[in-house]
Amino acid sequence: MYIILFFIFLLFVSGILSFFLKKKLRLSSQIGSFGSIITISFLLILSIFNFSRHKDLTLSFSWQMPFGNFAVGIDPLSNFFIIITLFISLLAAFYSVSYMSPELIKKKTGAHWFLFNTLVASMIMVLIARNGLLFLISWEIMSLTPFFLVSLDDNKISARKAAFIYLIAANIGSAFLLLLFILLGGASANLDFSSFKPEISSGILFILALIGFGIKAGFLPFHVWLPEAHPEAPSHISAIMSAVMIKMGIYGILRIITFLGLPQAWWGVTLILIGIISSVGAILFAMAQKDLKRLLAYSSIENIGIIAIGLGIGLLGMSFMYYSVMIIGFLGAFLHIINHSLSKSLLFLNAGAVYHATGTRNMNELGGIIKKMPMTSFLFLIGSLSIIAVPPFNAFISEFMIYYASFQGIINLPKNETIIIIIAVVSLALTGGLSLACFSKAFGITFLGFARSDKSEKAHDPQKTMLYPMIVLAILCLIFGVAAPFIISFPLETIRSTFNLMPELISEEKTQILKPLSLVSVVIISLIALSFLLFFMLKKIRDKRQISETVTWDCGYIAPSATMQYTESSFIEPLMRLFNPILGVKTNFHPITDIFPVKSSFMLKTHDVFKRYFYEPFFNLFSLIFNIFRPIQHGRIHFYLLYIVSTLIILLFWKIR
Amino acid sequence: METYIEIIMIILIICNLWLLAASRIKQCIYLVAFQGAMLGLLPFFQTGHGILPRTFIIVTGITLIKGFVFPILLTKALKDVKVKAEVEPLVSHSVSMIIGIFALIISLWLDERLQLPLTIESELIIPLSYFTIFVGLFLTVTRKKAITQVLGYITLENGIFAFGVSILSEHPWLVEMGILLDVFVAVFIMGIMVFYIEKEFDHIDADKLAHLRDWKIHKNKLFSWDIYHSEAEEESK
Repeated sequence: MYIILFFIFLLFVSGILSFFLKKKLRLSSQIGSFGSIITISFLLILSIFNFSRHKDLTLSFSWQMPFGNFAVGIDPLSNFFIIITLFISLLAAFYSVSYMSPELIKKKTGAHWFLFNTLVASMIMVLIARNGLLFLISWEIMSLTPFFLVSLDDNKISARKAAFIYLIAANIGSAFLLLLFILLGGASANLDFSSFKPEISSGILFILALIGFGIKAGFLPFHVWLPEAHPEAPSHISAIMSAVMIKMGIYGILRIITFLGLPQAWWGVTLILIGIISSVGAILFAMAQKDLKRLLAYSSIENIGIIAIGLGIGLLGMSFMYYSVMIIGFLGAFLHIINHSLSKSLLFLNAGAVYHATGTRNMNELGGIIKKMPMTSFLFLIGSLSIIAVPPFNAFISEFMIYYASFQGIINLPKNETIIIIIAVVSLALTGGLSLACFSKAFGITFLGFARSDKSEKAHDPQKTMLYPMIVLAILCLIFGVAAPFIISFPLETIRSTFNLMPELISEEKTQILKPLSLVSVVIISLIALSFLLFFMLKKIRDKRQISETVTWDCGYIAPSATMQYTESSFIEPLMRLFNPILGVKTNFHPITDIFPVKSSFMLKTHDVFKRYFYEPFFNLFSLIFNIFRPIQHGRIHFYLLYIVSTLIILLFWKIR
Repeated sequence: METYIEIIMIILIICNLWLLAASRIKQCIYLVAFQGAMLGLLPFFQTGHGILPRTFIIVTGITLIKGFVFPILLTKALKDVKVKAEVEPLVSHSVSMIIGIFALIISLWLDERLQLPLTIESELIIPLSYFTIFVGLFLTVTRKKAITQVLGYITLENGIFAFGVSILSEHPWLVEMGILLDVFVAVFIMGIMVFYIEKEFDHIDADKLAHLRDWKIHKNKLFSWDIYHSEAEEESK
């Protein structure tokens, strides 16, 4: 435990060193990157080693702070998240060596590495904290560093705006958490996790946790910060935020559930309901986005929704003591946490590579990149396929597990609860289909066709340090899909220790899960083999024929231009029209009316419904109230002093009255 | 001995009124220094304790710092920044005088109301300290330049010191020394800051620093998500 703390400290120190050496760009960058890469790899090795030993580590000593001891510990639940965090961070660190090279960001090198290392260190601290105060401090550092990272490019207005929205959301979340921990600590005023004895009804605590952690996780009503902050952050930071940081919300919910005893049925129902809203709502918004990274951010919310559905089903099973529903539901959620981390970070890194090469994230300015950046395009394809849960890839397995748990639930659970699970199954299916549409748009518009602007003309594949992390992630996406039967013991062990289940129960469930899962694996492997066979056969046939290159079908136009291609708006238009009541789509269509075509255009616009109809009016009201006080802050020092003087005098006279 | 104290008190009250009326910064600096030195002499005339060695040390220290170090620092700052020699008050000198007289009356009345549980050498010391505090606060609020605000601050501290001297036996000298050190550092830093403000903005007019505030009034739009957007647009224009 001391070794782990030492390495976390080292990570933090290397960040600080890098910050203070910011004048010397090279050195600062080297210290920051080497520090983070080396310490993160050591920590990763340590935590994998810990996990295989099946032993919990704890450490507790008194410190100069109130409310309990400096208590840290590692159990499989922490370790599960730690391994994901460290792995993604390691790849992101590699990626950022050239993505954030000192030549590119100049003076901000030091700040970047300081913030990056602090972010990773604080995330690990959140995961190993076993004291409420320590947890909150780490949580707050973890929440604050992204604010600076999002606004790293601070001469961009959108980045500043996004950072502030993020900051507000993060602070609201922290407020709920503070309340939660105070209530958990109870009268004893001891915030050590081991001494938590909730004195009030656990339902209230669950709701508080759901809101507080849900803001970080990005459940749909609380998601506003996510599609603002993720696109503006540097891409590897978006990858960390999306793949790891929002999962901290899930970790928090899980950790709190362990304190609250046996869950009630409505907890599971609530979680499933949130999951349904998040997944379906977010994927609809995702479809309408023009910004590649914003689309990915919405897709993150969708996947968090899927995880929530899995957790909800698990909780339902737990509250009715149906262990198979519980274990399979949680297993699905845990697997999806891993899988989403892998594929979403792959996609974000890819989007970063595209942005790096072309300087734009707007899909309408991209196109035709597949010829310029073949590797990136191929990797993006893999990422897309894996995130929409297509069989050979990883997310398929986790969604399959969630479906499996749902059907188990429908069969076993009481009638009232099955309705919500049936809705969940339906919405999962809908989400799957919509995300297929969404990502085929993202891939098709960005990479296929012709260049829509000269920005994508000069694109090229990124350097090796950027490419290799993506390749590693892509390979893992495939491995986690194909070799699922060997991987499930990792989350199963986590579930066992988190909820104190019998090892026999787990092994019994495992054999039951393995039956369909190994069948799936066999089918997948044979499918892959079959497709390779087909590919080579086709290649052989093709080699014999003569190959000629020409334009794609040009609708009979004599001189087709790049602007005549499908745009993302027109691609998605039929689906948007279908969901118009929810999305409130605004279209602007100038069709062709004459025989001889003149200029015509089609535009499609959507707003985030929650932002537009809930948050904006809410904050408008707020600012309306607080604007009354604005004239007080006029910037004249004399009057500020006058305030102090008059307060003093009033107090004096009030006292001797 | 009491007569000497009374005389010093009268001198200090006149000093305060003069400060309110003074129109030149240099004059203000000398007045504040004189006031400080006079206050430093006060413990000598307090009977009952005799002159202890520590009293002697502190008296010399205070007289030195308030009477000599501060004026030297401030005149140096004044010379460095090259501003107009006038005080530039927000409230005119005559009105300041009238308010000063009111403050004196209020201080005397306050003394009546607030009966301190101690014996005090002179009846005038407590009202004087209130009066000096009020004058100091008034100076910080109504004088435009940053350097005059420093002077107001020192005057304020003089008032607090006068209060401290009056309850000599109960008041630990250590606290007094702490306050003195505080003020010393404050004057030191303010002197440097005044210099830098002048270097950056070509004036030490604290009134004009108002444009540093971080918000602007949006007449039509109270709040929108694009608030930063519109501001930056204005900047670019």
